Amino acid sequence: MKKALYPLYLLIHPIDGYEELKYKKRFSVSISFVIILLFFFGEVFRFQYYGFGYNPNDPKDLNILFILARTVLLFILWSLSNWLFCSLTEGKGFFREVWAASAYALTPYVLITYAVTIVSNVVVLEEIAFINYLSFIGMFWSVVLMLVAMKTIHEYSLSKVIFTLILTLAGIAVVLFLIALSLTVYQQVFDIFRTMVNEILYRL
Amino acid sequence: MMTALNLQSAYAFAPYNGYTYDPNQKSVPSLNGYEPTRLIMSHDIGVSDMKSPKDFFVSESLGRIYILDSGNGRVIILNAQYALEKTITRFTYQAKETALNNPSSIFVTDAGEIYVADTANNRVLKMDDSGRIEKIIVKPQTDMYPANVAFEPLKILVDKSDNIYILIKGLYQGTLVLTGSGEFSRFYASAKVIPTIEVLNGMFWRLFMTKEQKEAQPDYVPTEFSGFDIDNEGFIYTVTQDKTTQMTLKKFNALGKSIAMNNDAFGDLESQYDRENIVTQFIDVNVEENFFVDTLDLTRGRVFRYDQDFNLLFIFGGPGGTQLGTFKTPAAVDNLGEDILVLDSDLASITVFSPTEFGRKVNTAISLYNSGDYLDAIEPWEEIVRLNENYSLAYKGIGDGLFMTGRYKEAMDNYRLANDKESYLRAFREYRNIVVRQSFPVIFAAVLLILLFVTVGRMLLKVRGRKR
Repeated sequence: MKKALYPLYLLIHPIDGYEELKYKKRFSVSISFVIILLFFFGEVFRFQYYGFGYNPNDPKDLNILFILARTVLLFILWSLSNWLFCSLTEGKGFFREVWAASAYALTPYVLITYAVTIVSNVVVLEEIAFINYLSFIGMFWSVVLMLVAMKTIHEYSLSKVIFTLILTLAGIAVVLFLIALSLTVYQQVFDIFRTMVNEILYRL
Repeated sequence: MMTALNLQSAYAFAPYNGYTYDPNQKSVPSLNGYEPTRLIMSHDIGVSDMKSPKDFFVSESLGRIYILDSGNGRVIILNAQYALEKTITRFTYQAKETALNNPSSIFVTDAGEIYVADTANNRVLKMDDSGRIEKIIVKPQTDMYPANVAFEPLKILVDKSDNIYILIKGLYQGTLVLTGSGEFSRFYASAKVIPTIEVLNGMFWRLFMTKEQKEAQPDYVPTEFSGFDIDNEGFIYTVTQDKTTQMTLKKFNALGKSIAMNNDAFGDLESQYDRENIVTQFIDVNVEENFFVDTLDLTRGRVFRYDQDFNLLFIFGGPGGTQLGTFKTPAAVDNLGEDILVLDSDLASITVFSPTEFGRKVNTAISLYNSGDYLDAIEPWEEIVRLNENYSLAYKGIGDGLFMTGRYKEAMDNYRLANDKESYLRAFREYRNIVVRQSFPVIFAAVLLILLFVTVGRMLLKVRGRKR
């Protein structure tokens, strides 16, 4: 099977798919990058082009950086945090594997985001419930794939998968907290230096 | 071209820049709907200087303006051309002379009976226009009236069946309603305490407080109404100064139930406009004969004009008081015909606002639209859009007109501009029905053809297979 179509095979055969991914190295980093890019563009696409009648967002409020942060940055944090914590808890996965497996797990969510956004433009109010179910299924299947991926990549039992999952999320939270903290601290430090320079300039 | 020039020159006269709020509640520039055209001060009328007039009443049926000159304890009556008709300086009750002490509200019935809330004297007076007092209404003798609240009437109005509605300082039970003879009738329409985060937080900490601490805390009592008015159908419109109550502007029926409104954000909406913190404190409300609603903001001296459905139409006026059209202490708002009058109690003046060409167009379009004349309203709405692209109400109007005529696609585009999702989906349903119905034969034929090809192809393959 071609490498580019492998994520689609994984969609339907998660358990076999991830085992082959790990032990036969049937993954490619470039395809994972494509999926992450599609993930990001899908979110932007949905923000702007979701059926007008159901789209709570004002197109004028689009903030690309914010969407970038909650897709790409979050993904990077996820794989980093997961890899770090799983290395500590006897996980067998390499960072490349964690990265690719996580990206491949996003496929159903990404595909359904595009589908839902397009279809939401041609449905009336009574039919929007089906669209909502569909997007729920996409999200749910991605979560299932992610769990299977973690289980296979790190050779874990299910309970350990859930344990490391919680650790990973906690790790992400800590990193985000540190980012926010350092931003405010640096801003204040910067402010101090700026006022000092200004003060000196006035005195000169 | 002519219109553009007119608007341009008119624009320059108003000391404020028009703005309005778009459907996402962000402020956008807009044309001025009303402009100050005239200032009426004591010397224009030809009376000695007014001292902090607190209220005025415009009676369109009598063609008179009654100014309550609170500081001097008199009532000045003007005719509809703003010329002096009469002043009432002497008040007599049963041949005895009496005086007003800091009165704060005046109401005149269609029959010409004048009601004055004589605040510091704790009474309400009913008199004719020669100053002869017919009736003095004092604190009603009833257990319902809380004993610790003095009878200090702040605002007053009288309905068609002579019931007297009084807003009383410090009375949280609601508006006091008295019968025509001054008997207690009921409390009406109290403003409720809405459990905001702040209130809930306060209640939580109260659980751990000692009695002394609790007593030192402010009580969470309903906000008092700061002004009210009655329309031709007997509905009462109230305003409060406190924005946190979500009762800023309300409409009540005769039973005191508030009427549901599709809009509940009134006054200035953003916390930041002009890089200043905005707190809107409505001090008075006026309902016009055709049910337009004007509310007056004390802090920024602005009038917010709403239509019958409480859609924001115009914002005009401003803070200051040094220029025509700005105010120091706006106290009351009323309308005379299409003009809107604002009384400033510090400046002791009445400012007359007249609609601009744009304002007049919006008023006519709204009137047509709200009387159900969606088709006739399209044309004025389209002119309004030409003058002011930011006026989202116009797109809704055009959309409704087009929807009625069955031009669903165009209606959808207009609803989209108005950000009216509900109407958009309504139009979209119709539009999709039409598209599906029109393209159904094509789709059906295509499906049939494909099926035909497939079956024929299969049969051919089978035949070939058998031959082999």
